[in-house]
Amino acid sequence: MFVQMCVKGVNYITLDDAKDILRKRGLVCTWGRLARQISSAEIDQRLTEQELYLHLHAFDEKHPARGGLVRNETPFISLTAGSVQRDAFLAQNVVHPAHEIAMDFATDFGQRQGDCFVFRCWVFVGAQPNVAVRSQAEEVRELHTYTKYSPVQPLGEIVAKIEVPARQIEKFEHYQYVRGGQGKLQIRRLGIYDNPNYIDPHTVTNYRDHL
Amino acid sequence: MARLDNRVSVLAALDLPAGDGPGRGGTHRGPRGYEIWESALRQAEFYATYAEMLETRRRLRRGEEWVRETYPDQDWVGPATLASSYLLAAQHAALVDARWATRLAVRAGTAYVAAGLPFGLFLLTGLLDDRTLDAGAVLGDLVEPFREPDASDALRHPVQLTYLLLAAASRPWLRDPLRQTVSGAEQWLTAHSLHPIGAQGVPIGQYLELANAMRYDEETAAARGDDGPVRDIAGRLAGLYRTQAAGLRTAQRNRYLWRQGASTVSIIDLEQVAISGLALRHRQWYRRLSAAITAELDRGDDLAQLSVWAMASIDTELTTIAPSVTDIMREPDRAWRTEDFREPDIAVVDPWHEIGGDGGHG
Repeated sequence: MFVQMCVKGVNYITLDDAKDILRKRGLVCTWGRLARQISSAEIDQRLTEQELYLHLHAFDEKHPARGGLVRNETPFISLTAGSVQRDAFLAQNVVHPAHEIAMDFATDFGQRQGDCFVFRCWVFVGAQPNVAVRSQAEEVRELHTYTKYSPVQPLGEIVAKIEVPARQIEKFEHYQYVRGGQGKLQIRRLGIYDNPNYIDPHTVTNYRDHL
Repeated sequence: MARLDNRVSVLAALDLPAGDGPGRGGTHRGPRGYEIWESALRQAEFYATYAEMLETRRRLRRGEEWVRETYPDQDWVGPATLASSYLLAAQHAALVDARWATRLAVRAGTAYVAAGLPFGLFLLTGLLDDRTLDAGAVLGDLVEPFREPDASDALRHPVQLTYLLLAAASRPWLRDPLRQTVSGAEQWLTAHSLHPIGAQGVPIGQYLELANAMRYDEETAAARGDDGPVRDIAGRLAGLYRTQAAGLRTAQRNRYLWRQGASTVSIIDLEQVAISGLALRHRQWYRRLSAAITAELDRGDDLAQLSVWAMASIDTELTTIAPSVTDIMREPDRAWRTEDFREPDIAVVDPWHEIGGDGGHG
């Protein structure tokens, strides 16, 4: 188990919503937000390889077993750790920094102008995958589907389950993606909001500072 | 097979099949491919804006704040992010406007050169013709970082060295200034022939064979007749493009990411486009080789024609935009913020309203 720092881009929320996520609610999966109350038994039913596959590859499709769309039924939360390695850059010519990926998501792939938010948080990632364990996030390294063009998923995707507690969210950055002078789009950073209740991940790892 | 010879036919070919399963796939707003065009436009604007955000911070000398915060010991990350953001912007823009895409690609090329990557020189020599490259009197500056084999770690990387070899194979005038760096490279790279190269991850060996096909085309002509090199190179390029098309078909199955323009595979891969440019501009055979590649792809997947179409659309616009391209190469740091280089207001024009469905914005 190791601690992985991640970012998540969020859109279609207000500044007050973002503050509420930071200080109280945490980041909650869409299923949890829409259902409001979910039981441990229901969670266990959904934390499966099949549901993870649907989250990653059929996000906007009708869920094959439930009524709604996969995006509304998912118990997972997509985060990104980015992918910035010198050797990969020299081999593929592209880097995928977590901030840039999160901003792309936060602007709804460039469609959403106005306020958008980038949250910085941490999650536990297991040394080996185990979708059924709620407290452990999964590192998505897809080795089978896209082998035609990439040996691994390049975006450094991390998938959390059910929620990322508010205390694991360090801060969020408030941006505006807007047209400025001469009609050109701009990315403006309006502010950074720290979480007073944040728990430093060093306090939960086997790292001890000197006294 | 449908011939992809204008933007409308390209966008239609990229559309998801109508009524293809459940969910929102197959419901069309506007003409076929409209969603693809719209998402390409939005993504191109986003990545260009992101790159310009990095440029703004450079200009104000405040440092690339988040880059330095996040990667304090990795100076290369800022220039790498800038170059790859421009590249991604250009690849999306290629589905919207060839002039816009070319200017973004040239910004990317100069940013890669500034970051010490031969991929930048490969991109520029592939996408631009000799007249455009020569006009700015910047060729010396573009080649300079790669004259000495020990100038950077990138020159010792098999993938980056392969790009240099391809550029030198295409343009004889590059061989002399790059002689020291590429000398013996071919033999050294043979040992790395299975190393995956670029976004497609094809084995380096395929690129080396293409470089050899260009370098030794006269011998091929002597052995197989005048058309021998054309058939040989066309066959190799067609093989690469079929592989790319297969990757795109796989990516299409994730319909959500496909519609958002967020697939992890780029629809227009400028590396593949530049490879065709290097081959097409190697000799005075542009039309002949282009026709031969198209003939090779005649009975395959339509999407295999994308790189050839993208190269042709860039080539058509080069004469018009050469002055601004030259200025970007001459003064890359200044170019992005000068009003003369402001991108056209592309939000209001779509290819279905243009005569013939192709061309730029008036």
